Amino acid sequence: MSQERRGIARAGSWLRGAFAPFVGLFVVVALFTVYGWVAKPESQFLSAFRMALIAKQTAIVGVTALGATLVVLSGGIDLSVGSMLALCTVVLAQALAGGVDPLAALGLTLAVGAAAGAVNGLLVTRLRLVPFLATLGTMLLFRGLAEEIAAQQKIPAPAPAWLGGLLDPPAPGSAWLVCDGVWIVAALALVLAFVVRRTVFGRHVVAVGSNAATARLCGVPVARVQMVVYALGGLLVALGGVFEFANLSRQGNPMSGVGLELEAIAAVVLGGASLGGGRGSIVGAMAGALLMTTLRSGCVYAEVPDPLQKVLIGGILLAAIAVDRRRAGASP
Amino acid sequence: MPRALLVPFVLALALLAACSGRPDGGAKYRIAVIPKGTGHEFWQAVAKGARAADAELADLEIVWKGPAGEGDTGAQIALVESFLADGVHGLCLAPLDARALVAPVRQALRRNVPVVVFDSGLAEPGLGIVSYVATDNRRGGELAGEHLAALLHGKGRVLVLRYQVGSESTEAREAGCLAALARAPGIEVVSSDRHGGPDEAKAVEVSENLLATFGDRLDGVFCSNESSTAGMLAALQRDPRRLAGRIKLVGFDSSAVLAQGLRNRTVHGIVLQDPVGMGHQAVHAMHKRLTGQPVPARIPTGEVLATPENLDQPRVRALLFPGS
Amino acid sequence: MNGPGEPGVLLRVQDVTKSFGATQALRGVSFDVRRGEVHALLGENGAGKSTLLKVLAGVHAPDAGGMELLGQPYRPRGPAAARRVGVAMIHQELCLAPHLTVAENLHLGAERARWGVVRAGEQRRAARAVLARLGHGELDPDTRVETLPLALRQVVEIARAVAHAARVLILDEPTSSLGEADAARLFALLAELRSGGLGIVYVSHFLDEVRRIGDRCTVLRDGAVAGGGRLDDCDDDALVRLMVGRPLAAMFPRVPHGAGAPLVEIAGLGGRRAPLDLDLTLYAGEILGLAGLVGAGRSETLRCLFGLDPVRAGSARLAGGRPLARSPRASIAAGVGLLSEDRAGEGLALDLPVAANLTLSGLGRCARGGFLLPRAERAAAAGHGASLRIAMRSPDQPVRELSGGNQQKVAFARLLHQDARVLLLDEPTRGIDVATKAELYAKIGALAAAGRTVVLVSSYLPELLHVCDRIAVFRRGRMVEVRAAADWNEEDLVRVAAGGQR
Repeated sequence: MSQERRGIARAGSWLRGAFAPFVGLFVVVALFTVYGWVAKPESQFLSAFRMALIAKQTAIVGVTALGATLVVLSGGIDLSVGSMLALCTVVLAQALAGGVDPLAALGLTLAVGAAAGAVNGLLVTRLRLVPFLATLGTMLLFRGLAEEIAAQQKIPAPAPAWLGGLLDPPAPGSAWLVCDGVWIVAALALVLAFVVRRTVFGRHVVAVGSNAATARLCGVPVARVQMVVYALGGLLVALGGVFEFANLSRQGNPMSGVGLELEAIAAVVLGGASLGGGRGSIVGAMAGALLMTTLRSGCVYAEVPDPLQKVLIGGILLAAIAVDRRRAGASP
Repeated sequence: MPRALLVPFVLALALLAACSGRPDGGAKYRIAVIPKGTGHEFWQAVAKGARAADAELADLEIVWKGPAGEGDTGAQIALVESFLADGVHGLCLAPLDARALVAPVRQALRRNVPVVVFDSGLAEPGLGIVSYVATDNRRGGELAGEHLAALLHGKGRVLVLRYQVGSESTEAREAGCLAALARAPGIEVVSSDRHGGPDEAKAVEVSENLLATFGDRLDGVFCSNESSTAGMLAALQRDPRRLAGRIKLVGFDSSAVLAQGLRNRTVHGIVLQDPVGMGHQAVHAMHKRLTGQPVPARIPTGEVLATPENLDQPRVRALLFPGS
Repeated sequence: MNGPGEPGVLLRVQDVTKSFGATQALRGVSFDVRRGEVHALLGENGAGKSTLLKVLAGVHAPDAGGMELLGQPYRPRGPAAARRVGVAMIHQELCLAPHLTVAENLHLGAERARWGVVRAGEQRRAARAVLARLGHGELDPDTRVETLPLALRQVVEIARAVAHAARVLILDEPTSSLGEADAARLFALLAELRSGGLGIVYVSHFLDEVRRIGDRCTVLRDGAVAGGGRLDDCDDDALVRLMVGRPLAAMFPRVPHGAGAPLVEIAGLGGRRAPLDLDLTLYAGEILGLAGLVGAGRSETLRCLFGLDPVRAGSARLAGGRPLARSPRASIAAGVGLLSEDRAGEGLALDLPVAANLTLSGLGRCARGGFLLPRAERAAAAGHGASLRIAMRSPDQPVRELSGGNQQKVAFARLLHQDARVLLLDEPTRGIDVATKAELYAKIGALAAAGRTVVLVSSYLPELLHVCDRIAVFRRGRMVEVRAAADWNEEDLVRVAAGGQR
């Protein structure tokens, strides 16, 4: 590395992981903005309204990606998050429909999510299953449970505004700008980014993911770390299930979250993570998730036809990952 | 078998027997009824009609099984094949894809297993199916389009949110609606190439993006199935510009949320099918065929437009709340 | 067949230069390999040996200068191209497909096939022929490689090169993971290949083994040729001086220390395979060496004691009565540290920064209430980095970017950071250069002088004899004899380790 880069190496270390996806995000926003100037002078892409909308649309995949980042950092993977989300959203709706106090229903939902995550953790640590296969199994298991609990139907349920309106936009002119759910995700992201970088637990997660044998050698309680990571991931997915309930006009849909696991993993990877573990960034994953929703929203704005939109998003995903890998592998 | 394996094996067997929904036989004819999915309330209503027919017919029993989720064509093909292997006497099928299901249906007919197609048609005429039991989806779409044009007094900007590529019934509704709208020269269709898809959360997102782009100057929306109508309604209700109620929303198929929307005038029209009648008639058509009675090649099950004005009429009420 | 220049020259390197960014790894290096000779490449880590080998094997293209193979210009576009024209490299980390058989590995990438169907019988016959030629006829071509010990895997890799008509064989530290007996077999094999007309480039840190096998040598220092010639013409002192610029006596610096009170009592300790019924007392301020063949149970003993491998029998306690051999976590808490012999696989998380690796086992020293103190962490890394002279850009640099010797210093520094009272060192100087070794020996001596206990497993006998106070010899999982280091010599160690009679 050259002399002048040495100086910024330290300052850059915080951003290094998260930098690439923000560049991608910036490029995409710039692309649609410039398109708007040229082709759609009557409506701009960069409006406060659209930004708030994109932020809201990122809430569910974002909160899921928070947990997924932890899991990937620890060297694992969780394919069951989509089904877990359906399970949680259905549990919440069923509890509310059954007249359970909303706060208790929320607590129950979060507990179910954490327990579902802990099941994954147990399979990985006690039965020593490969995370990919363990969570492939629970992906079916949780989906079946969700359908069974919901009797294969959508469950409408009453909910107070603080719960059912988590994704409703704030009153016009309010200083909050975006819905409560987005603020919750943003706050969680900051807390988790701090946990990963600045706590003993976070260091242990990274060490386990980077080289589990080394972690064991150095006295890191590897199995305990993995358990906590999967359970925490489940807890965050449960929050995503709560958002999903709010998103579907206070209904629990057992078919929710199909394909969510891939979107969450894509966000994590876009955020600069390595699926091999030990490398990844919470803030980066948020940028990755934002990048994808921005792309989808922008494609509607620019009236890109549906099929082309998929090609575009797939291409950008690959390009972003390729660019990031080149950066990561640049040093000899 | 080693003893260590015996206990789990027996336990698994017992569990399987306990979970198995299979009736304990006795009936002469066993027929499979395969919907497009099991999650939507529409299919619950179809199941209700089919089970009613099952109860009426002593010499027949049905097995109700659909692909998990809606939209998994491969899973539906596999279902048809496994029922054939299982030796059912007849198949009632709502094909998820008008072309992809032709081959499995042909395979069934070759094995002398009669097939009744319901809800949605197959792309191949002259296959030799027993009957096609369905709503006239094109007519239903026209009904919706005419209603939307009338609501807007023949003038305004509308968009059409489609359901999914390859779904014959919804494509017919979309075509019918667009044809009716085209007959009103003052109506401009600003977008008709977006698909809500089977996942309602995705339908919400697509609706939000459409409203962000066109919402400021939009007068009406048509959605071609329940989940996309519900997704659009959620997006309208959440929009800070208070679009719900102002933009005329006409949809297809009922659910509790949509009926509520009709009541508080955030939904302005729903084309209703008769899913209970559809399930009922499909099974009866199959029974007639198996017992050698004549069956008409096309059995229309009717379609009705529900509006905030007529929703308390008994006939509309019955179709709007098929579960009750 | 020979080039127009001197007779017998197979491969000639002329004024080769290679830079990576600002670092000049090779500056005008010239040397040649003749048929029927073993040419030893010597030099400290970072002297440019690895780069030179990679240039030879086609991994890197030189920036300037030229190479000739049999008088023809030699510019391989990659390792595969180099192999095709007869230049094959045997890596330190062997590259075989572990799930394939010996025969399949021998033909990997050059399968004998008709219509795309592999002719397994023919491959098996060919493999058997090559193995027999190399004096390893006992090796079954149908064995899966993963079941073979390291030494035999190396034989398979060499056989692969020979089967593909290699003319120049490049070996990078081939004995670094081998015990004495396996190394001897390897030398016999190389001698056989040499007399068959192959040219062999041999890289090693061990002067004695270079003397056993080499004909000529070239010494690299700082990317340039420092000297060389026929090995018979230069003595060890001269070679070491060429490599490091200081005399041999400085290699094993002795720090005065003496054994104190008993610190660890091991009674009847037994592991899964090894150790067997081990009774041993470790004293504060002593350096105990463990000698033996590969697989004799030395590493297993350390791992058992540390709690990494399960304990099947017996116990180990600290002087105060605190039990050991429970779990790594408990051992670290009790003041025991282990340096793994598998630096890349276990010892270090290569992608993590130096600081994170160095503090991982003693993270509590850089944290308060579960929150990390980055400043304390960086200070610890910088402090140990300075005292061990770790060449790094900053504590944030990934360990992967450091040279092997510096990586090892990071792993060693971890034990210092956790302030271990008992240091279990498994092959701490494997694959690192002479100067770094000397530094580590000095540090180990200083630790003993400070009252720490060091247990040192090594396959390098001079190291054991010069550094340790006592040496215990292991054979088949059992400790068979322990004496003061002064009462051992190399011959005795080898004989007892191999089970010979006095």
